[in-house]
Amino acid sequence: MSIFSYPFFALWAVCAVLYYTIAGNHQWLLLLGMSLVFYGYSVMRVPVILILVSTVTYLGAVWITYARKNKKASEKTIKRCRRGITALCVAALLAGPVTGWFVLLGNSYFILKAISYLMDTDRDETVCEKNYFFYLLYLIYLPTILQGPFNRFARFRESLREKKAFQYEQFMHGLQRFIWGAFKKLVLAARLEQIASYVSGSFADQSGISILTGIMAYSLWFYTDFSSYMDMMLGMSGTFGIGLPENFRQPYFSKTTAEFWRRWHITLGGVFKDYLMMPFIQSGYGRRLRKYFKGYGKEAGRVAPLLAGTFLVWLTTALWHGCSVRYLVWGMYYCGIISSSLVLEGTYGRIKKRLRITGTSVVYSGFCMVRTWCVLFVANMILQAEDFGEFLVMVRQLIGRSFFVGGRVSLSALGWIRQDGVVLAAGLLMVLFVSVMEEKNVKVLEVIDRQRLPVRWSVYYILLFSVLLFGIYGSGYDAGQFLYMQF
Amino acid sequence: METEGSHAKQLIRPVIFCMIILVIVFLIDYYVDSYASVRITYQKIAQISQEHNYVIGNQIPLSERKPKWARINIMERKEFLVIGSSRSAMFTSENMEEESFYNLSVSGGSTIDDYLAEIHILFSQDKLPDKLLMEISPATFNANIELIRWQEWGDNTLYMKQILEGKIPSGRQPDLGIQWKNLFSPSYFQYNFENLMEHKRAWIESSEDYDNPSYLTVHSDGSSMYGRDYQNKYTEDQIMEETKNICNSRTIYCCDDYREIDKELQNTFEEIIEFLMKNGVEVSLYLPPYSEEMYQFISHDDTYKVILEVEAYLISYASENGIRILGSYDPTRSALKTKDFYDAYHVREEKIIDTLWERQVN
Repeated sequence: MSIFSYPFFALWAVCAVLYYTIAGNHQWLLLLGMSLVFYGYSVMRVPVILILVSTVTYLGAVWITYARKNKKASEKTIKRCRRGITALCVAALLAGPVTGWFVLLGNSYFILKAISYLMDTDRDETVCEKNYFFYLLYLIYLPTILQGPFNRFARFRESLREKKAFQYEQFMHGLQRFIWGAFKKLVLAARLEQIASYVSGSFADQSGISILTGIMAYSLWFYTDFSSYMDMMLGMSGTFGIGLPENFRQPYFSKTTAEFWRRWHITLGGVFKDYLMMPFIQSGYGRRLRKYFKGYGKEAGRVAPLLAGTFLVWLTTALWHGCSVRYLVWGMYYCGIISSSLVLEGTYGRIKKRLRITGTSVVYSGFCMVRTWCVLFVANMILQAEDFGEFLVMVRQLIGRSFFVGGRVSLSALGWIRQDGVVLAAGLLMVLFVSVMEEKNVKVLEVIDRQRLPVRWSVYYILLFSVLLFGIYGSGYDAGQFLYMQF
Repeated sequence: METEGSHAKQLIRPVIFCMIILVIVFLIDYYVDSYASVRITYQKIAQISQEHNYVIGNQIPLSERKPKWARINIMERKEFLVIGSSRSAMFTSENMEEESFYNLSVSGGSTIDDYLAEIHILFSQDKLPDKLLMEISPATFNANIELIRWQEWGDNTLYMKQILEGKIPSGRQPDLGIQWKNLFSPSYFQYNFENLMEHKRAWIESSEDYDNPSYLTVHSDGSSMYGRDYQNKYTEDQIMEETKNICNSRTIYCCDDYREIDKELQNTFEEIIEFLMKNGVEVSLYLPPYSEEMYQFISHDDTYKVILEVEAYLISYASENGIRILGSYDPTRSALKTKDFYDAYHVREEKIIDTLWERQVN
């Protein structure tokens, strides 16, 4: 079921009405029904992996809590049980892309959520859920099933603790955010995809400037596509009064690569940090590493487990995105960049001090942002190139004499009319404006709310009609497909 | 504390907001109506065409096939039918001297897929004629043809294929009346808005005139004529020049990448004829002529020898099966000159009957 389809809107509308009228204290049941209808309609077969993972982790959490409370098993046994279930979940997660079996809608999201729930229960960071169906809702809650965000169980449970009354402002903000996401997806992401696809069709024939344009378009496409989905789903969830964590925080304003990954897919980063990196650093392995490298200096002892943890996280991130050489290279590339930043942190600090560079200088901030973009562009080149040879072709076109020689991205080459270029430019400026506002902690929706009716409605009409008139629909284009759905 | 009453008051504004959008969308969709979904509809066109001729404005090209489909749905069975392309569209009830007559020809309509669809529509409504004149252009057997307008017939092509395979087709035929759901389609609104910005809208008009200077006129008997201005646009010299250009650039209509008669299309054609004859239809095959210069080029150029092979095959097939075969791709066989054409492919109306001579087959 596409999220740009009448059945989806009908499902949403009907559920919203029932949610605030007759659902009463069983609102969560209605949400479960809605999520199951969406999931069943989209999958059209028995979700074996979902049933298996949800049942095993549910029972595992119940047993762990019971065993610990009633001292029915030793800590060692409990740990082994948890690790065994986690390993089973990881195997289920990897089995799909490796074997081509068990690939199910949203499995990389609900499996990670199941693992996080199990570990939170083990750490006593959340109460063990006794109601299997409520737990199932957490795993397949509609707005989060396809591309996240990863919501922790404790927060989710808290958000549904009390019956939700209809709140006009909250509901409207949810709808407005959905429309903003639809604008980014249908008007901007669709056009950026066309540019990126055009260039990636034949790198060898393109000039360097064309390749650079293509990479920028690819980077922006990735962002607008993924963040648009987040806007729509957070908006949708907002209409039910359920807040979800933000997954993006103006990532292209980052000054370092590490900062970028704290602003991009924030919740995934949080999952890997909380359930992989920190446990590793605090584990026996981490402590042994620290002890060993301390022999080379205090700094070495501090950094060594961080580097090992970083490697582990990026290896997992690469595998999560896809079991292929391309993603492994991509992951290790980022691992190398972030690791070298960790190692050279002290050196950079000394150089900045000597050059009297303060972190607040506009010029320096600008330099850092451009530097970060360069790192990101190289990473996106890795993702776009079919193989190493094609990557080298791209590099050669970018730095050689063919920077200005070769095919160019133009309106006619893309089959666009002038309007398409204008719409894309205007749309990107709007996104930039909103991003700058949000970076300054200005809530754009609240600013609009404070304006007079004609101004508010003008903004809403411009946005809505932009989606209707400039959105790319029609045959050959599936508006309901998003980039991150492949992961 | 918010009460239900205050909720209701709060919801008035968004309701008004949405109503304004719906009204704007509805008005633009209704006014432009690019796919004849609401204001015009193919059913309405069919009703007009029962009694009158009608003119289709060419600002927005409406489907040519759907009005004829809708007309078959409401008309009684005819004894004589013509199917083919624009090259047989000028056969009329008058020049064919048939009272119970309908011309189902449509532009680009001499493809096997078009014939399958048309025959299914007639067969499923028990309206197969007593006599059928079927235009066979050489492109009918070209597997690389790029015409896709047959898809306007919906699933009828598929259903007929299933019948020929001995299966029973099942499925609903689309409604050719008002399509309310299109009014709520974002892509329809987008297309209508684009046309509105270019000052275009779909329109048809009933007419008592036989033809129109600028637009396609479709007669009550299904025959049609391009605008007179187009028919008189080119002089004889210009037609010859244009023909020369087409031949030199080897871009004869629907004959790109055409080296041999496609076996599958040939089989389907024979199955169609067999089916029609089994259902009591007397089939005649019509071969529309090319202009003099074009045929001279075709007959001497190896690239297009398949056109001559098609004619030879049809003569042989007709002979073996006792089928009438009328006309020839060679215009000299109909004593036609360049002046008798209004472009490289289309014979003028006053000479069209001359192309219907019967070939003697053994």
